Amino acid sequence: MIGRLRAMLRQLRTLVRKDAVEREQRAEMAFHVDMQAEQYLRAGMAPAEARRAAHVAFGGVERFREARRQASRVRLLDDLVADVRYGIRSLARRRGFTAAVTLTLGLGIGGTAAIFSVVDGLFLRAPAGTRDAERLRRVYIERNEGVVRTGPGGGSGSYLDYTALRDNLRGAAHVATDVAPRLVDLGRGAEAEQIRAGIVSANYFATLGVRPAAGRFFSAEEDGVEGTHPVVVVSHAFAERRLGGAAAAPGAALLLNGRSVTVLGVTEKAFTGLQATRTEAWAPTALAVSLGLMFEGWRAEAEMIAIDYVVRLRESVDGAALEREATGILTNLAEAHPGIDPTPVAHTSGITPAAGPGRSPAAFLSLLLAAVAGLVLIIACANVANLLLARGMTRRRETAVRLSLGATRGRVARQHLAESLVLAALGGAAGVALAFLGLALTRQFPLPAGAGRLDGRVLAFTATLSLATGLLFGLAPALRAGRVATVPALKESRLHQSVAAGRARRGLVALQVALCALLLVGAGLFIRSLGQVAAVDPGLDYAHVTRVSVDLGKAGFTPQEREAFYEAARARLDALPEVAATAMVHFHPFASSAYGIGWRLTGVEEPGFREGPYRNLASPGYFAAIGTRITAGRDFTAADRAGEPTAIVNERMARGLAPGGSALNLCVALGSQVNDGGCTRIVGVVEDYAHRFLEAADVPMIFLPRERDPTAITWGGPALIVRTRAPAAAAAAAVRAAVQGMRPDLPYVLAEPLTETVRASVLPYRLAATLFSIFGALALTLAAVGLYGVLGYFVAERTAEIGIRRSLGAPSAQVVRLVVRQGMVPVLAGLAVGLAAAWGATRVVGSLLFGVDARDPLTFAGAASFLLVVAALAALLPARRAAGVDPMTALRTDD
Amino acid sequence: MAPRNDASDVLRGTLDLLILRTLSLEPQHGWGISQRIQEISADAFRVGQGSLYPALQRLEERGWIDAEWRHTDEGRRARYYTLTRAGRKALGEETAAWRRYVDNVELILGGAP
Repeated sequence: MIGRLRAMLRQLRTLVRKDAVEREQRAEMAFHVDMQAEQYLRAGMAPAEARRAAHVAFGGVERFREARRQASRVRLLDDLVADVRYGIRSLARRRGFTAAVTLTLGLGIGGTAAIFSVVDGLFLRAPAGTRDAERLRRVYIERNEGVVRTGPGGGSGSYLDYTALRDNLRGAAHVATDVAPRLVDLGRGAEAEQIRAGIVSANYFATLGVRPAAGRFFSAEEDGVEGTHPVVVVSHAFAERRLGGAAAAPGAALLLNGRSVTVLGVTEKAFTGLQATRTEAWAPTALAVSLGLMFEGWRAEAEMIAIDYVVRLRESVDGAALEREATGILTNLAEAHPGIDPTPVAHTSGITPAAGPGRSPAAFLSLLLAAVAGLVLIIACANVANLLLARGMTRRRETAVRLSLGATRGRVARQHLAESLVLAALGGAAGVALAFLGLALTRQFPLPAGAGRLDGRVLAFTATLSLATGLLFGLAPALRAGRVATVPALKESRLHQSVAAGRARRGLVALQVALCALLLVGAGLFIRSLGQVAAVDPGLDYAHVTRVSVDLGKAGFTPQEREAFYEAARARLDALPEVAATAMVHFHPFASSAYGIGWRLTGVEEPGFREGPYRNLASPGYFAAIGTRITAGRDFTAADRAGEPTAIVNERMARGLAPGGSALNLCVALGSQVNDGGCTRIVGVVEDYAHRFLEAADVPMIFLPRERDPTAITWGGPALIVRTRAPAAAAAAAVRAAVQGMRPDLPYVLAEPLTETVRASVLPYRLAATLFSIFGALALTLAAVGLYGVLGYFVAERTAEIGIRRSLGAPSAQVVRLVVRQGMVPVLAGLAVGLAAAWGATRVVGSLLFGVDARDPLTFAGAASFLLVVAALAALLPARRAAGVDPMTALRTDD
Repeated sequence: MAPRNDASDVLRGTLDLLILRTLSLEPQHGWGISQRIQEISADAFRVGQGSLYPALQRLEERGWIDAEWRHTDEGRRARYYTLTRAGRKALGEETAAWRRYVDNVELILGGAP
């Protein structure tokens, strides 16, 4: 027992007092040699000879120490420390190599971790604040016949579907419903703003497992009869921002879309809704009509499919069983409603925003980006592997020297490994730092709680991957180090090199090039697509145009009061020095809304319009204000207010009315005139402009004078169009302030530059092009560095061979060809594979492209030649170095 | 007396036993141990430093021997190894095990044609 204790103490001492122990060992060794020398002396040797012989008999000093270390049990830990220190020293000597590996790994890990953390938080994870989310399911209903159809995968359903499921679905503990959140006006006057509000059933929060931070959630009664209980629940952030904190919120009064409601409760902090955009308030379904979000009687119509379902599964039930049961219930319900599909099919999915058929293009784009970031990580790992393999080769001689000095093979192998691990750790640290940096950038965007936080799992995964790369590719040279035959390796020049290692490295280059080609084709497609988007000519000059919309109906304005208000607003705006012109229109440009109109003109056939014609109401000066031109006839004037009905048509409509001739002065039966008689005189023809951005401008349009009947269209609109002298983005705030300040009881006044409306449509294309370009450039850089590294080592290895070739008369061009060919073979192989993969894969992104075919030959050719040029440059640099080799130097220095 | 060049390295595994046996007579330094083994075996065994010192370290860590610096008869400082109580016990067990092993090998060799 005491012996064991003493032994342990000694082991400890060996470890902590390494120097003292080594001093003792040296003293013991010296004693041994002295004794041996004395013995030889006694045997009759000369003193000097005796000492020399004693040393020889003792053997190598290094070997003595190594053998003792090998015998020691503490050596493993001890060696690890020594190996790591050796690795750090050796890495510090080769700063370029270390920096390259660290940066490569860092970019790969950091980029992937940052992107994936955001995507994970936004789309892949159950929304924060929900409990036992793995038992929560979205239910989608697929209908392929009847008046309402959803397409494959299903979609929203009706309130009747909801009540049927709620009352009959045994597989679910809770069935709740929600309507996708919309923007509603909050408050009046200067304080007014727009917030996102959802419509939910009473049991919504209970189903999700969300708890109140203050107050309570809806009772069944409060979600009963329409309009009887004006109550809402607000988010924690909203309570803090507007109501002085969660505790003070219950009982507070709010004005939502002109209707006063009382705050019942506040959700817990983490919960910001199930969607990727934050929701700030929730109203019961029984308040949807009062808030102007649904039309009267929507809850009783089987054809009104606008609501979604979320259910909590019972313990023993899985998604498939629930789908079968729900399908049965919905089929029974369909029997009572002849208009709808008699064979609906229920589908379920998880509640992450990326799941289900309703996932947004943003979710798709983000998932795509996560995949792309993963590809870059693979490229980075391949690069590091390549650098490590190449480094392993150049260390053969160093290894041989260490072996001949008495280090064991296992020891040398472990040293290689330790160095690789140190590298991997450095790369991992750089990766974490870069990930934090990347996430700091993403925080510029308003993300829901939980998104954009560095995820432990993601970090662990990327860190493991980097460590594995270090281990795996540190191990290959390490194992080879163990097999190095001392004498040949010491003798060998760089003429002899492992063929297998070269093949592995070229394979890695090919892999990088293939993935790089894939990314470059993707980047190319998105850049071309963005180019097409930017080149879209919507047919009007809108950079100085702001639209102003106020929902006066919610504020209780009669149509007459509304017209008077806009009249006053225009007068006020016209007085501003920065305003060039104002006009009124019903559907503003790029509004995406449209309202059809029937027409008849004796002797003219409907010319097969793809869609339309659409009607719109415009005031005099509207066309000038939005920057389009009247090409024939005249604009509306005050005189069009009464007398003979007049209209202005766009050129597309004009061609339909008078093929080959002029539509001016034709009298066309429009709308009710088709049946009731009468006609409308065409007094002007205006240029086509796109009524939805990014769509063709060739939709036929008919404009009627707005002043003649401002209520000719009963929904949507109107909008006040303001043309400013400065670009709209700079002037919009002043415009908004001028209108909002007119009356203290105004709801939120929206003043949006048309450039902003367009920006939203262009954003996905711009985002895709930007991010793909960044990742493509990153991949290309990594691949080029990888190729350069491999060829650099190739040239270094073959310096002697090249020297011989040169001295035998090979021209430098031949040497350049030799090196370039060596590099371009894997590049071409990788390129072929990458392009083939891209050919198969780009169809996935087809829906994100605009005006470009997913297999656009120009893009493929462009990406290929770009990659080839960069690869050729990366190959040419080492080749030129090789060509510059002086034969004599190369032959003499063998290192 | 066997010729010097016939001397073989001590069989792996038996060196520990020989060291323990040598130290059971009296405390000794490394050089002395190697000399003693060579003498007793009538020069049949040769103990190189490459195996001796690692073995000593191994035994020391196992707690079977103890080491301290002492002066030799000639007044030089040397590291002396002493058998511990655990070492003495181990020597008995190892010796018995070795004898059994040798007997068994002998049995087999004796029975061979």
